[in-house]
Order: sequence, then C-alpha cells, then structure tokens
Amino acid sequence: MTEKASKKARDELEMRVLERTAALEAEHAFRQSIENSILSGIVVIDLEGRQTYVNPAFCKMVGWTAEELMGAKPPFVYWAPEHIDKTSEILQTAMKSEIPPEGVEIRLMRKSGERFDALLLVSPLKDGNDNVTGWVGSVGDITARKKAEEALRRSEARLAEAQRIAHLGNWDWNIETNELQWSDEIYRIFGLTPQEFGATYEAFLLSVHPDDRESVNRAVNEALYGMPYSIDHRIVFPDGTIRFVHEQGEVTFGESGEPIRMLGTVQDITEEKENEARLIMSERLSALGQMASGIAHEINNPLATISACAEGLLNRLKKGRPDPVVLENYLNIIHEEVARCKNITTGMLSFVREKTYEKKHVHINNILDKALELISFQGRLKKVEVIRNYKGSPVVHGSEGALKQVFLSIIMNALDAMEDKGRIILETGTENREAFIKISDNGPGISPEDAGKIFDPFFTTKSEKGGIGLGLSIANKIINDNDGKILFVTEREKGTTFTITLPSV
Amino acid sequence: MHWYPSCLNSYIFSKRTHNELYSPLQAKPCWGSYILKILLAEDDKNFGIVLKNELEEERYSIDLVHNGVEAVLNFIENAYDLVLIDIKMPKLDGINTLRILKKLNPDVPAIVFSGNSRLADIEDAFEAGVIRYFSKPFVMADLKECIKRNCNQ
Repeated sequence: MTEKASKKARDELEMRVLERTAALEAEHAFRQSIENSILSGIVVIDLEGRQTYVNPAFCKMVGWTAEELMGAKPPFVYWAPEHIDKTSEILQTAMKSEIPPEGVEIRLMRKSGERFDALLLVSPLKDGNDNVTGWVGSVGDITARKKAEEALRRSEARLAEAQRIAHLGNWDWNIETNELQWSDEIYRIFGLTPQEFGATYEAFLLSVHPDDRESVNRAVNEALYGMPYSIDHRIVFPDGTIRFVHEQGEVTFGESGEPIRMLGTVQDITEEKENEARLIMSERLSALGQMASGIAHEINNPLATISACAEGLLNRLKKGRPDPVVLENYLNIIHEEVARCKNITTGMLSFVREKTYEKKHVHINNILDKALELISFQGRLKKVEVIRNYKGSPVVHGSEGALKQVFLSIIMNALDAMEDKGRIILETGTENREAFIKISDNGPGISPEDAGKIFDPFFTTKSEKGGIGLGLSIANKIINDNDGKILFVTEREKGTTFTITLPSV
Repeated sequence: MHWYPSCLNSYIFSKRTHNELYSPLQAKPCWGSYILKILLAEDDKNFGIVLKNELEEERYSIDLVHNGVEAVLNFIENAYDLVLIDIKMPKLDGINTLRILKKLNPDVPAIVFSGNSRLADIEDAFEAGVIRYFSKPFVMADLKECIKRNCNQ
C-alpha cells in the first residue's frame, strides 16, 4: 500500500467515523426529545425487577431523580407504604406478562408524600432472539380524571338529594323515538317503580288524573308548536291517591323546525295547594271573626242606649212623673240608634251574600264604597278624611266579594300605617280599556327594605298586633287571577299609593 | 312597652297615693245626705248622655268623659266614690284605664261594661279588680242596684 493509498483509507475511515458519530448524535437527540416530550412515565425493569431505565416524565411525576431510581430493586420508593402488598402483587403479575392490555390502576406516592392514582400498562422487552429481557411499564397520572369522576358522582348525588328534598324531578322525552327518561324522584312523585312505568308519553298520560288528561295533552301539543309549557295538574297513584304536580318544560326543535326533544321538570305541589286552601280559609275566618267582634260592638252599643232609654221612660211613667222633654229626647235618641243598627245589618248582609265569590259584571265604585262602609262600622274612619275622586263608573268582570277583600286589605293597611288619623284618597276611572283604582294615604310610607316584600306571604310589620302577613299576598293573587295588576309607589313621610288595574268591560 | 301613655308616668310612679294627695276631700260615702261622685268613661255619645241622665235621676253626681286618657286626668284631679268604664274606648282602652286608676287608688270600686264581651276582656277586667262586668245591652236597674249595694257599705 502506498502512503497515498493508506492516507486515503484513513481519511475514508475518519469520514465514516464522523458520519456515524453524527448519525448516532442525531438518533440520540431524537430519542432524547421523544423521551422528554412523552407525558407518560416510562419505567424499564430487568428480569430481577431492577430498574434499568426511567424517563424524565416519570421522575417528574414521582419527584425522585433518575440517579435515585436507577438500579433500585423493589419495593420501590414511590410505592405507597399502605398499598405495598397490593403493588407488589401487581409487579409479580407484570413480571409474568399477565397485566391486561387496558392496564391496571395503582396507587403511588410522590417524594412529597402525596398519594396519586396511576394507570399502568406493561409490555415485555425482548432481545433480537425474541427472549424476554425485562418489562417496560408506562405510567399515566389519572388523579385529575379520578377527581373529576368523584366530583361528577358527588354532584349527581347532590342533585338526587336536592330533587328528593324539593320533591322535584326531571324528565327527558325523545320525541322521535318516544322514549321518556325519568329521574328517580319522578318515580317517587308518581308513586311508581321503574318496572311499573312504560317509559313513554302515553304511559305518563295514564298517570295523569282522567279529568286533567285533556288539558295536559293540549298543553304538550301547544308546546310542540312553540308555546311555553308550564301547568299544574293532578296525578293518580296506582292506589288511587291524588296528588298535585307542577310541570314545566321546553322543546328543542330540529333544523327544519320539527320537535326533537322535550326536557322538563315535575314538582310535587300537593302540600302547597293544601296550605294555600287552608290559608285562604283561615284568613277569611279571621277576617270574619274580627268583623263579627266589631259588628257585635257596633250593634250592642245602640241596643244598650235604646234599652236604657226605654227603661228610663218606663221608670218615669211608673213614678207618675213623665217629663215631656226627656220623653222627646229619648225617643229621638232611640230613632237615631235604630237607624244606626239598620246601616250595620245592611252592610253585613251584602258581605255575607257574597260568599260564593261568583264572577259577574261589577261596579268598582260601589264595591269601594261598601268596603269603606265596613271599615267605618269598625269605627276606624272617625279621624280620617276620605276623598272620593271617582271619574266615571268603571265596570269589570269579577267577584264583588273578592274585590272587596282586596280594597279592604289595602285600606286597612293604610289606616294601620296612619294610626287611623289622616287622609285617604280614592281615585277610579277607565283608561285605554283598563279600569284603574288608586288608593292613596298620607301615612309614613313603606321603608325601602320592606317595599320588596309586602306581597310575600307571611311578611308582616304588625306581628305583635296579630297580623299574619297574608292580606296583600291574597289581594295580589286575586288581582292576578282577574288578569289585573297591582302596583304601588311610596315615599317616606309622604304616603303610599296603590294602583290596581283590571280589564274593563 | 307600657300599657299607659308616658305622660302619666310621673303620676303613676310617684310614691304618694291618691289618698295622701287628696285626703282632705276624701269623704266617706254615706247614703242619704252625701251625693256619690261617679266617674263615667264612655265613648258612645248617646249611651253616655242617657246613662248620665239616668244616674243623675238617682241623685248621683256624674262626670262624663269620652276616652281613657280623659278618665285618668279627671281621676287625678278629683275624688270619686265609684268609676264606670266602657272597655272599648279610643286612646286608652277601658282595661288599661282601670289598671291606672287602681294604681292611683286601689280601693275605688269599679264597674265595667262592653259591647263585645270577649272572654279575655272579662278575665282582664276581673284581674284588674272590677266588682262587676256588664255586657251591653244590660238592664239599668241592675246597674243602679249594683252601685247602691257597693257604696252603702
């Protein structure tokens, strides 16, 4: 070999070494960047279970460095001591290549002592001759997933609990397949078990009270055409028990406007319905009781006077010295007192006759006057200036008794606020086909903190005087039932004005 | 909360009793020569007039007032042998009026009457120390008899 030839061979060799080195460096860099970018932890163990490799992600996950982990034999430092037996078992399974392909969940420990859940996937490591030389474990941190699962489970449990407490259930009706899904609470509300229920719309209709079926069906059909769905109806339990429910729902429409799905809620409102009826009854009884007491006083006073006059005159006759002046005085007084009694009985009868609360065309001004008359029988208008500012004679379709109750509540509240001293202005009229009634007082007004609550049932500022806080809430309900509105404006130390509007006839 | 107007505090809480204040005027009732002085508190105009008239026929001296506060003020200024009180009155009702009068002079005989005889009112009245409760309307002769019996002793 010439020197030239050997130099060439050396250069070639050098070149090959350089190329090979570059290729190796590139491969190493590639491997490194893959290792660094892998989020799962990778652990390699040999046949004796010794750790021969850990990737940076695994080091980061457990908190120990590669130097601390390499070469270590089980039990490993990142095994949670309380799970050591179970983890050891899993390792044995892994070393027999028996870990299922979907992996197993294990509980590990970080260097900080914090425990975490991980999913372990294992595959055998083989050499060129297909001999197993160890195992590669891929470890994924699933703490976040576990937490999310737990949170979901808890929120579902809370929802079920909330539904149970509120007697409120939700349903999901797939209109295309006519499948109806009920939450557990609905089964309780309907007194059924899942086995007893056909889970279709028709099966639901069977639970509805026969008298209400048509209106429920109509409401659902209207909802399918886009009308709001919010109804109260009765349901019948298999044992015949009748309950009241409130339903509310919304329809989802497809691209071409066809109804696809309907979601809704059912609430058991039996107790509310019963309480409402009881309260209206007790309010009426208590109003009647107060009135009876007032009326007894108002009638017994004139009777006492008449009786005293008659007795006095008889006495004078018996003694044989009738006094013509006394006679005339007493007879005039008797006359006056009889007229007083007659007024009271007239007012009382008009109240009693209204007990059916049937609706007809009624004159607002008449009802207002009757309400005032009833209040004056209770002696509450002696120091009150009442100004009647009636513009025209509005007529509405409603129940005289119910409307009188509304006016009574508002006027009595005004009198309570003014302590029976001051001025009340009553204004009525018709505007834009609506009848309006304004009742104003010049009392102390309603405080801002109370103003938002005055229509709430049981809200009262007069509890120590026996107020139960139902007057205005019932008044509000009556006016709403008659398609009207009731509003008020109030100013401290100036007074309050209530305005009622009702559809005029 | 008191059951009487605060303007009456100084009278009610003074250590001196009504008798100490007015002892020279406090004559023992003596049927025949002495004219019994009666305080009548009644807010019903006509009944007040007739009752006063009828009792004056029996030779009693009647001061008629129309509410509880007037009754208390009169009672403070004058000595009475008997008080007649209607329970339902404005400003200060009969029961509370009676409680104040009894505080001023525990010995004064009191008769009350009312148009709506609620059991609670009757119980309150007896607790406050009335000798008789009349439910309106009542027989005038019964009232006169009751007055006569209680003032003769």
